[in-house]
Amino acid sequence: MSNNGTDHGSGRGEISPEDREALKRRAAGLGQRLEQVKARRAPQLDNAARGAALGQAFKIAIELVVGVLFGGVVGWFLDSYFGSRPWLLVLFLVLGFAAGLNNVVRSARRMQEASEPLQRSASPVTEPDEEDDR
Amino acid sequence: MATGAAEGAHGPMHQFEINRLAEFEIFGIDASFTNSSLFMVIGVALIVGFLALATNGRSLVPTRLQSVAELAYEFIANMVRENVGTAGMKYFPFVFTLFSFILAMNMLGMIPYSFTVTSHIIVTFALAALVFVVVTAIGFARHGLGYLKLFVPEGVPFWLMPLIVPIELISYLIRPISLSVRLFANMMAGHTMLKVFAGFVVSLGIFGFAPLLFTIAFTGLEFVVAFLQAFIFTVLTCIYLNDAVNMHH
Repeated sequence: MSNNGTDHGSGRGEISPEDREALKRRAAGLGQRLEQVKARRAPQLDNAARGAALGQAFKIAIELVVGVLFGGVVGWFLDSYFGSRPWLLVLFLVLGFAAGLNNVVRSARRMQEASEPLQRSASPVTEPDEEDDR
Repeated sequence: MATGAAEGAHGPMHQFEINRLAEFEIFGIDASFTNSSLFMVIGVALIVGFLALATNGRSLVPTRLQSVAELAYEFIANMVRENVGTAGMKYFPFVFTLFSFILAMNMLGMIPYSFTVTSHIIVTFALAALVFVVVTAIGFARHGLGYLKLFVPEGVPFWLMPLIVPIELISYLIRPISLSVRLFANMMAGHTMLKVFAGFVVSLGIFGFAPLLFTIAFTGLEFVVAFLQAFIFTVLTCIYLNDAVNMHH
């Protein structure tokens, strides 16, 4: 805004060349951003694809929940059978959680492989992440 | 029954009720023919009738019906080949039967006043348990006791074994549960939601058009879900088959 000194008087109103350049750049940047947003939105409009994504999300969530529930139920019954009330429940909850995570990681990896068919031949990194899962 | 024209008497869960159509008892077990059984029979009859009709002509240039059947065959055959490999084509009939049964049940449930067999967890669990037993049997038949190596991942230090083996075992055991819960929950939640929102259409009076629009859109989504859940169930069966046939994850 403080650019009174160096104008050449090209007769284009109050907008100096610098301002016009800046405006042009902003317009171009806006167009680019719009294109990006459009590209990002376009595939989501497909109803079937959205349903598929929802299905995958449910699939992963259910695997985790079922793992914990299964561990809880098994632990509960073993506890009432052996009379060792809280301990087997705790143990099997943790094991069930780990098993659920194991299944989640496995199916997520499968999804990734499906989306990148070229990586299928690469040898998968096997299981050292189990320790971190715990 | 005597409450007259009030339709609100049917709650959203009414559609899941089991009614005995013909009572049977075999050795003290209640084996009545219910509305659930009726829809299973209808579904199976539809599948068999459709496939029999479609493969009747067997022309080189397929008729419309035949091309639909061929499409279905290719769809499942590709799925088996992709996930299990050509060795898995031996089990193609099992996978195809499973897919067509679940798809028929899900789609029959989309007809108003019909009954959705797959919205009962006992049905989906029976299907998943069948998959579990078949896959485990195939695994042991093909690899013998070596199939137990599935629970012992390679490259794990021996002192971690007491931890990893139970986790792998539980992961294997919960597969049929997550398989059945997924199908059952999707079918039941969707149908309940449809019914609840359809109930709003009447009770909101003039503003009922909003839930009406939602119900229409949601019906479309429900068709997608009905197909997708049959697809997911089948793909996961193929993936489990792959573990049993080829023994590596």
